[in-house]
Amino acid sequence: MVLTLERLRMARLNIKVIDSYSKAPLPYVHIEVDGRVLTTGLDGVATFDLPAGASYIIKVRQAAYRPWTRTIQVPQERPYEQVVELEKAIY
Amino acid sequence: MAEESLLLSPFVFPPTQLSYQLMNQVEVLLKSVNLRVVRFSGPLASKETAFIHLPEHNLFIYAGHAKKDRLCGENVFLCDLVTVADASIFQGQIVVANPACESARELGPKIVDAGAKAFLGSVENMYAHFNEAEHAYMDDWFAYTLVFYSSVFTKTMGEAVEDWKNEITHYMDLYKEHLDDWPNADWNYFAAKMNRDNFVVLGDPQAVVGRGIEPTTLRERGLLEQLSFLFSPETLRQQWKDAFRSLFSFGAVTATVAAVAVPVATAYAIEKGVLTKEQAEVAKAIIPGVVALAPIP
Repeated sequence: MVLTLERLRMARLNIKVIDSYSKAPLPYVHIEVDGRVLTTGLDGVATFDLPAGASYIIKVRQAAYRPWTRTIQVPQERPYEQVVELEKAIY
Repeated sequence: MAEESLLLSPFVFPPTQLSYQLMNQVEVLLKSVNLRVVRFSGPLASKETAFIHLPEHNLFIYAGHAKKDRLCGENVFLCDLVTVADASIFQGQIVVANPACESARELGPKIVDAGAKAFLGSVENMYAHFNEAEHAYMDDWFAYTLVFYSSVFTKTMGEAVEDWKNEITHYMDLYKEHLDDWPNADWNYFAAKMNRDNFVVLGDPQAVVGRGIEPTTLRERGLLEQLSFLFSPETLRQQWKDAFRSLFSFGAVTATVAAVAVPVATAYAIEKGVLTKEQAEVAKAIIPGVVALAPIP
């Protein structure tokens, strides 16, 4: 019996969230990727390390802003940056 | 107060473009049942507009950005369309701020304390909905808000708010059923819940638009419409033309009569000894326009 172990390649996904009107980074935004939830820092960025080459559903949720949901393909071997512009949803 | 409603809807700062579209539909709805709406949008939705036109209306509708103590108007940075300092201008009126954030926290109570019949608004943020690939959430928002505005004009303010809440509940149930297959159903459920649970009626929940003053208002409106017709520039212009025509006709008739009748009458008067030749000359000197036409016999 031959067992082949292949190293799982990981890719880094940086998601930057900004306000669509002011272009200012938005901190404390909840981002869900493949069941994992992270919150953006003061720079509006959250970083996920994910198995490369797969597609993921990204959900970005912040009170007062329109929800943002997309499916993206994370490429192999290089950091992937996704900028999310959130649109105001409140009056 | 002759008009039913004054409607102000800014449209520059997001997401007021959506509430502007929503108010387009509200305006169509109200006009379809022959209700009067005076509408100002964009930069015309200003403090000056509100103050000038407000006394003529018994309902003030605002859709746009707001804070707990003010309605912003078009400029969200200046944010001074209506502030708590202006509360007394709404005496005897009904004020509806939908959609508008937090207006029922401080502004609403002040307006009611200052004599408004009722204030309808939210104590929290109010949310727009957006159409997404999986479902037209914005269409739902328009639908439940139109139910509300329809009720505002036909029911008490308390009933209108109840209708609004019941209608939102219907859509919340729909979103709840689709939490697994509509990716944005969770957020829209939350937004609808915020709109439903925090919307209140302050003041008299039995207040109605126009009821009680309507017969008087209608009579006044009829009179005012007649007066405004009588004194409209077009009417005055026509009256002046008619008057000029009448005066011209009268002058022509008078001149004709004078030219024919005065010489005959003067000759007859002199013949009968009622008028001497000297008196006829004097008369000719005093009223030349008429008597000059008459040759003194």
